[in-house]
Amino acid sequence: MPHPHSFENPGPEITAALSDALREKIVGFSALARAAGLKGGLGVSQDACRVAALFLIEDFAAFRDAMRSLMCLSQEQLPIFDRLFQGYWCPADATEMLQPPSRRLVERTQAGTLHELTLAQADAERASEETSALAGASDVDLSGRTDLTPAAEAELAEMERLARRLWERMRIPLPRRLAGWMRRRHLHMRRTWRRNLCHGGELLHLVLSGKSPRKPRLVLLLDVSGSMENHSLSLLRLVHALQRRFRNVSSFAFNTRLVELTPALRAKRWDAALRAMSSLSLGWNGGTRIGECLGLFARHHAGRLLRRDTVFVVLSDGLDTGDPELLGDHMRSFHARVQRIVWLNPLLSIEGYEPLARGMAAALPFVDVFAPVYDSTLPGLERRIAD
Amino acid sequence: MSLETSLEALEQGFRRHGYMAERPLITALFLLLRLGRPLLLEGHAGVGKTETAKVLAALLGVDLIRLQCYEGLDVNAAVYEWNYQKQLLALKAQEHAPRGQETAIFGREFLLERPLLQAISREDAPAVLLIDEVDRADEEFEAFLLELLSDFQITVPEIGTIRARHRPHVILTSNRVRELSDALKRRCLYHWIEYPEAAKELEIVQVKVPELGEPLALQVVSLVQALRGLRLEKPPGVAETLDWALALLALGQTRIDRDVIAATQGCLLKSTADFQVLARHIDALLAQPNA
Repeated sequence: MPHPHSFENPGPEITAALSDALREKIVGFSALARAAGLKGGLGVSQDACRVAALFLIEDFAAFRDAMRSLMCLSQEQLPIFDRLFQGYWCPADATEMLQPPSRRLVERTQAGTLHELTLAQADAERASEETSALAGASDVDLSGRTDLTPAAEAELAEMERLARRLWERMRIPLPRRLAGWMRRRHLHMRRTWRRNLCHGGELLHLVLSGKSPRKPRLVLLLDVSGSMENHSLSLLRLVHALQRRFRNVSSFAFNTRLVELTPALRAKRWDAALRAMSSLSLGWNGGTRIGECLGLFARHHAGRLLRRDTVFVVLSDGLDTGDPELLGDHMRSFHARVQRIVWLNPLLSIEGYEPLARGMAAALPFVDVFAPVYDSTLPGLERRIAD
Repeated sequence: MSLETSLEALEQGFRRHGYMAERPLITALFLLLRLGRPLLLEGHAGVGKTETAKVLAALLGVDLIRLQCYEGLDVNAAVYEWNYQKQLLALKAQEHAPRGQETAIFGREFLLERPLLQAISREDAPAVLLIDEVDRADEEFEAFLLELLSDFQITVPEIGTIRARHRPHVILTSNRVRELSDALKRRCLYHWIEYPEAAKELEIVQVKVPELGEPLALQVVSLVQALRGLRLEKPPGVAETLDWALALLALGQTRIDRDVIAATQGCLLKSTADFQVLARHIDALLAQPNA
């Protein structure tokens, strides 16, 4: 079986010289891809040159497919790549052609998120209009609330402390090699063996593996509708703090739609996180349709996120204008899949509150832990989530 | 004609083995062979990711080494493990052996090779290494895999470093249950396998289940294509289409109507919620042309 031509010994056609102009153009495309969040850089450029030598002349479609395989990292990036490739290699007329990234494109990309770049049309002016419109609308909402009263500041600090304590309790480092073994109590063969080598192979001491505490995953759904207006910011702070500390935390915000906050909240600093969130088109403080949002979650994210060791946390007052039966159905199916459902309702800290609203009542049978968000039950909350 | 010299040869080779691959997938596989990079195949369940690796191995005439990933997969199950029983017996036997005939108990013969070590220990030709459902393994395993895919060598502390004589062709598959780490994705070529178009799926059914006959195959394909447009928990993949075709053949059905669908819906859909969706839309589905 002859060795295939490979990375180490390229076949003769790969080392055929590309013209300098072509090589430059390929490097420019690689830089453009990198600015857009795709794979780019030196290694990719080198591979791209090899690919061009193989395909570019005879089979343009194969060249495009090959570059796509080289540069994309996920399914979401496929349309971005197609747009970039079309604009760079085969523009309809010279004015539409994409140039290797100018300062402007790079700056715009660094300031915003991939979300903004996907909004960008070939027409640069329209794109920048859109992004500033998005930023404007939600900036008004959030920035107006960043100056806080001392009491609110204390609340936020409390959130940080809570998140840190939760982290300490739930973080369990396991050495990689042992991770698979430590599932249940049984004879740990390797350790037993090592322990008994000194006895010449007689198994005098048996080493049992202990039960390993498992790292739970957290999924947080935060209600950001009008009725939750007073609590949204501090709860966001809690979610942000939790997310910084745990690896397996996913967070979402919902009112009439569902938006994933996880990438935005990954920023270490709070103001960077706020900036990232302002580019998400959520429409803070609208009405609420909890059932529909749970349905969206079930459709797009539940398969990926809900497992037997997941703790599913909803932070909401349960007041909604949607269909309570739908809400109940989804809660039932989630309940079957996760370890525990926790519903934190800020209204519970009000004297005499009873969960009579239809939405809340429909969800209640499936909630394992129903608790208020703040005040003296914070340690209790921590215990409940960490157990 | 050697497979690595042209896309056409590779495509024809895949067809000969019954796999109707789209051109972009063939191009990605070609790059796998030429550039020597691992290939990450992502897509919904049942579109043929695992099958790709099997056919590639058959085509190249080499072994397929398969590592099925799961949460908690560790070095012992993936790379190597010591054969403790054999070591124990060897130690006992040495007690009574005359001096000078001691054998080391940490030699290669006491090492159980698991898939990853097998893949790099090939003597004659590079194997195809399939790392299936890599998104089910955890982050620690991914870090280990990254190391392996960069250097293609494994260090066993008691023996030393084992380097690959022939770098295997590596295919990783993922159902996107969990996001893979960026570093691993950057190491690999990427390809997303989408559900096939109706014409392509019809071709697949006719090649794999030729006894079905064209009119029935046409019905099957158009129904499955329509089903994928509904909001299902688990949309049927190509594997389910073929299962359904085989079921119809086995039951001797010649046309599809409500009763037939009700009897065989388990081949297509995998949850009661989806059965209810099917029941709600069954009239619309059957009223389509070709159905």
